[in-house]
Amino acid sequence: MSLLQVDGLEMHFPVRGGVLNRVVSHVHAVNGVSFEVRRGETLGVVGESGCGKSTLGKCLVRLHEPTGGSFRYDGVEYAHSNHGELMDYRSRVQMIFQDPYSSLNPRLTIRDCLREVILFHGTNYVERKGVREPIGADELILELVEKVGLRADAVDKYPHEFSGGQRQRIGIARALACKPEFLIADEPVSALDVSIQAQVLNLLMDLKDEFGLTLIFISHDLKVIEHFCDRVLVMYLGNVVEEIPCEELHASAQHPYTRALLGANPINHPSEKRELTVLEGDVPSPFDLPKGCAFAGRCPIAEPRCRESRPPLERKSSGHRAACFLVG
Amino acid sequence: MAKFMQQRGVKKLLKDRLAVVSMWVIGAYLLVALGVLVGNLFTEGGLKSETELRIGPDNVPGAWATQSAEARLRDATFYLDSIKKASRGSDPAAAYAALEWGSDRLPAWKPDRIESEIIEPADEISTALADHRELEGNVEALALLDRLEQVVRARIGASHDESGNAQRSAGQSFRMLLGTDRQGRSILVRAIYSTKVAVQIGVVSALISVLIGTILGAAAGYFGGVVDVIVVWLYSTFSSIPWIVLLMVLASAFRGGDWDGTLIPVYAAFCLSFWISPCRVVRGEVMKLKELEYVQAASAIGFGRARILFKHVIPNTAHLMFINFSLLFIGAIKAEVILSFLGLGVKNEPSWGVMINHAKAEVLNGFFWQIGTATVFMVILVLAFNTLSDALQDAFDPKHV
Repeated sequence: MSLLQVDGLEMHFPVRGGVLNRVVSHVHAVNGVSFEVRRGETLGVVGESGCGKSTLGKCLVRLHEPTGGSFRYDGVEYAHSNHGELMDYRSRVQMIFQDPYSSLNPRLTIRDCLREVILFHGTNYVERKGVREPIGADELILELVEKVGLRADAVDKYPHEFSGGQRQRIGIARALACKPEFLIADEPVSALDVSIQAQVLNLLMDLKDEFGLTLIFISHDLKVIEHFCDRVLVMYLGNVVEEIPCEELHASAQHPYTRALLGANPINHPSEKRELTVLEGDVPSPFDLPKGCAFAGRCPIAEPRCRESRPPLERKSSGHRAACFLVG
Repeated sequence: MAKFMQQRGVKKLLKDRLAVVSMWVIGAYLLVALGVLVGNLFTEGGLKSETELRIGPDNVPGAWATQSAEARLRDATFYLDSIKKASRGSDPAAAYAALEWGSDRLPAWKPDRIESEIIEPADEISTALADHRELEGNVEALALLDRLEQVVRARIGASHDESGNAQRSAGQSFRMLLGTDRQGRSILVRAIYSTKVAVQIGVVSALISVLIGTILGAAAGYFGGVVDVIVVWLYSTFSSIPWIVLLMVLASAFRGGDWDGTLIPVYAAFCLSFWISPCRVVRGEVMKLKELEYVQAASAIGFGRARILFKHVIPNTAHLMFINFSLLFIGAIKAEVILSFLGLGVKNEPSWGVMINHAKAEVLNGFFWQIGTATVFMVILVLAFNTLSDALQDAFDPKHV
């Protein structure tokens, strides 16, 4: 049973210009994306910079209102709900942000930061045998801080007193303060040192198990996605080009873009061989998308028909979809 | 917040020696202003009456200036005339008491004693002096002048030391320290009183301007759209009017109304023209801040826009509010001087601008004490504030140019 069902989600940002400040064109950031996330799984979203993966995440927590399409969470449509209607959704779906240096208000101590969230959503309770028992906000704050692996004396410090990894942990604690069941992690480790990345990833994994979270994990690093996710969604220029379970990624990924991404991964040992496809050319402008396949201009195997019409995302096998005429 | 300040800005600020000195200077000014304000409340008639007092002849220079013989004669004649007028009036005792520069000795004397011990000998000397055309370099005349001063001034509270220099009572010599203006009022007392007016105008108009500017600018930057268009249109319109013209128009618009003669027209004029610069700066900062992830996180959590604006956005523009406050404080003080100089500003009270305005004619006669005092008082305060706002900017907003 799918917890989140996304149908043809579109996010086109208007670009204004000219003397009268009229809309002159649109940035097609997300261009009709459909997928579903089952309860308890971790879905990876991968793609290069500007492919719309962060915008997708922001649409899903409704930081943006999508310009088209819809998404249903637990059977309820939230794509165009207003502030009041979203309140319940917001406490269930939270986001972890990319840059730990700008994701915390520098004027609030960790305690103030978490307390505000806890009191706002009224999450200062513990559930024992299905019965909610209220606890003090401070108690919950301490619990959260310890859950994310920080010392209890951290609560009265300001964000600038922490390192990047610690700040990211605080960002996670803030998301958890809503007691969410669904987390969207927007490149949560890409701003961290490699040594810290592993710590934060492991923390996320532990928390996922402990709280039974469902996750969308956005990253540009296939290695991290492979390590962390059950399925992966490969995006290119606002479109999903392939959706594939992680364990099949190396063996049966078909889309030439996915293959190129896999080839670009660093290898573990110099004796290992890899199929390195260096993509040439640039990503087409998101202002006016090409008529055919968005990837055709850089694709090593493109044919004339690729430039004429857009390949649909077709089911290749169970849980595997790819958008290419020429494979499968 | 206090702890946050402890961590970064304040420490850096306290290391800046120049900034610390200027903070002491500003502190001293604020204390003086506060003292005047409190004194005004608790003394009868207020300290303001002190500034209207005639304490001696017109345009007496400061204590350490050497006076020309003509000026000394003029001063002595002034004192003599005042004593004459008092003792020949209908109620001499009251008139003596009203001679503010007089000592307590004078009223106790009987009019005839004053007549015989002061007025008669002084008149004699004056008559003798009138024979001498040239006073400067004329030994005989200068000796007469010394005697005249002795006779007159010894009786009005100023005794003489061995070398014959006038010794005044402490209060009187403090008042006379920087001389008197054209109405014989103490320049020093007026300048000190003006500190209160300056600080009052600076604090009130800078505070209100920064508040208006921050709230409008933050709303414009955060909400965007129509709000932004309206605010930008407002401040573009206001800033396209030369501010001095705007000040003059507003100041004269209040003329004759209920608030004429109070400081309210000045406040209104300043706030209306000074909110623009904090508004512009805060709007830009908020446009930057609202894209930051902690603000996005706050909306993802579901906080309302007002809460995000007032709790997560505006507090992070505090450094701009500090800097703008100190800049506008100086701006208001300088603008007050200009406005008062034009006769549109402060009324019924001395202020540095009023003093400079009154000094116009004196300057032509080569008397610089009044304009100099007012200017020096203002320059020190403005300089201290300028130094402080530079240091504030360095300490709290290192990225700012």
